[in-house]
Amino acid sequence: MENTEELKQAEAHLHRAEAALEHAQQNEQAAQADERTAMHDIAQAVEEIREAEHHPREIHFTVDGEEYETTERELTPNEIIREFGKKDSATNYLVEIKGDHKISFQGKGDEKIKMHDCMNFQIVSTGPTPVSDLTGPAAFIEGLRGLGYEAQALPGMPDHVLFNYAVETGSRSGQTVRLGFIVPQDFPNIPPGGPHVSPHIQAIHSSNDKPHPAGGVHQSPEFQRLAGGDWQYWSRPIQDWGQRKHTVTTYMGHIWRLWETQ
Amino acid sequence: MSRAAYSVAIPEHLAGVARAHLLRRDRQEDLCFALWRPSMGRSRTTALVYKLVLPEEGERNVHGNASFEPAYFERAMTEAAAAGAGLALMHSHPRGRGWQGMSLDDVRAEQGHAGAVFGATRKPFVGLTIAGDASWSGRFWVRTAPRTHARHNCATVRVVGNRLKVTYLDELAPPPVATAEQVRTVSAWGAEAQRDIARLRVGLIGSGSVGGLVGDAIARSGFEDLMLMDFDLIEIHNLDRLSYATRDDVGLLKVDVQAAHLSARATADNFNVETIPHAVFEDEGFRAALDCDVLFSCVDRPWGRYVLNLIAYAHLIPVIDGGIAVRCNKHGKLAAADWKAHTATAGRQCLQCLRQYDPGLVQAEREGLLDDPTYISGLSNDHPLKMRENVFAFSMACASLQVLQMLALTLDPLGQPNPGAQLYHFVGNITEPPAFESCHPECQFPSLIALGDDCGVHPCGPRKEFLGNESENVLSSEEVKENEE
Repeated sequence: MENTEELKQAEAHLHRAEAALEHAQQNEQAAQADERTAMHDIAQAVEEIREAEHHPREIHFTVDGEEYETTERELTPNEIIREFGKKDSATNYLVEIKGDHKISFQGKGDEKIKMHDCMNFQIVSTGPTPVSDLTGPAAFIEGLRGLGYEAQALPGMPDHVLFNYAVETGSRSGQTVRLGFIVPQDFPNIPPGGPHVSPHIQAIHSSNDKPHPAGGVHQSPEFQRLAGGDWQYWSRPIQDWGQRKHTVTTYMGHIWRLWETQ
Repeated sequence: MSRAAYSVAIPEHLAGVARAHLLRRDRQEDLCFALWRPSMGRSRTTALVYKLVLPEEGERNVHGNASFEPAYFERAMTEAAAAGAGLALMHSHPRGRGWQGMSLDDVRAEQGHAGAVFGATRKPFVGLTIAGDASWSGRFWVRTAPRTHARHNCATVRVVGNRLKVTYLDELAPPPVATAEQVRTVSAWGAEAQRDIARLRVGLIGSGSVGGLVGDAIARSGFEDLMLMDFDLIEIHNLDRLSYATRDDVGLLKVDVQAAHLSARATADNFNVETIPHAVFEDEGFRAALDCDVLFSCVDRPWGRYVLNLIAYAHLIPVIDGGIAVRCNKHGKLAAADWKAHTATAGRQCLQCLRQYDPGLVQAEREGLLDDPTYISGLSNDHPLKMRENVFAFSMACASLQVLQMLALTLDPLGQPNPGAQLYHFVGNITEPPAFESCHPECQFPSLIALGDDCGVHPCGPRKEFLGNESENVLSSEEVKENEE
């Protein structure tokens, strides 16, 4: 009886010893792996130290005009948006400004950017922008798009806006013309003066003594030169703008009435 | 007076709310934060207070003196930074009168936080103190070196609205000494009021017939600091209306001749007149106008009036405006001669809603069309741009009304600073009842009050000459028909 018990204890001891041996062998392999990783990290750190010795410790850059600094030599656009711009990277993307040139990181939010001094970034919202926040030609073009007109600015003349206009009323009904506007930077506070029209609809008189629709028609040299074709300017400022809703719809209602009375 | 380098302006209604909070019934000191926007003149920086950040429960302690908790400071600073605005600390000296000095605690509270405020807002921390008599005093804490912020006292703090009330720092804006020539003037409203109004920097926009007479009234009444703005030259046909010009002056700048005229007639010992040969819608003219405390609008074109209207609300500088309209019948006989005067300022109707200019014509002026005689001739006979004929007597009446508007605004006689919009018809001797209207619901100017350079409206541009319809490019009706075919 006693021999059987001793035998069992000896077998159990043997199993424990075998398990301990196996564990020790695994630990040795893990230790060797750890050693290799550590050696690699040390080599990388030494490399980074060497690299850092040749670079300034702090990198100075701006985000939306605010100055920041970092010791990181690489950041992703999303990190810059979140950590420095304090904005949601899901609804914003980053643009790097290099003088007149811009590099967009839209759709590249997780790609690393090598940071260096004097970088300038701008955070751009991908969310909806209320029209009321826009001013100047951008607001005018946006308002025209809302009315179904595909308007564009003349190259190099962002305040000169033109689009095709199908006349719906008056003697010219059914005709498609091109309309151009010089849109003030302070639109909608100040509306455009009057439409530039192509082709010529009215004669241009050297004296201006005729009533609407013949009078107040001038040359339009800039639209003629930049947009091509024959253009003329109808000096027909909208009246009572101060007492009306300051919208593109209001202004185009004025244009509609000009055609109605042709 | 010495020209103010720093100033603070507060809309009247906001100053009233701040006063109610800061001047407690128990006469203990109190404090609050406020947000401000910059108004950068040519030589003066003004902080325009546009919003109060009043303390919430537990954010400040009142114990005779007053102190604020860090959480309150951080909340206000965060709000300022998020809005792109500057931060101001307001506190009260209930037992004080007039301009207030600073205790050591006051200095520590403001200077000690100036660095953090500058770091968060990139703008100087502004300190304001209200005395028991509702006089304000103010200063900017300007970063002069790393971690160093120096106090720059304001020369003036202006509360602007139905009334223009200015508190002066005598050290920077010394009170004028009444001269023997001013005895009758001073006896009308008293030495204290004279000391206050004579230190105002008055801007005269337009040196025409009305502007010429307004200038005479200002210089003779003892005002010390006057700015004249006009880019025009004197022409022979101006001489029936310009009080300051003679035949020898034809071809000279109006402002130069008027300045010499006024310097010889001013009753103040330290009379200073500056000339700006620009339009108020040009950047140089616009910035010079922002150095003034009150402006006279003596222009007759829409762009200038539009810019002045913006200045009145966004930059809190009251604009005294007027106008004359003369109409003849078809026999060339006088049928109507009307003149009006009113003041555009926070809380009153603006020039656009008073129909003193048509926004639709501003762009036409920018494009040079209003200098085109053929354009003007094509307008209807009752169009304001065609009713600019004028005579000296009408200008005198209009100038008088404008000066009286300014005196009411600044003297506040018997608590009545607003005479309303005035309109007089010479033919028939009809005086309309004064009008006290508000702006139209669509008017944007009330929403721009005290937003200064941050208002988002850029009204200036270069003067442009209209080139006209050159005859070689004029198309006949036949040519148009040919084009159509």
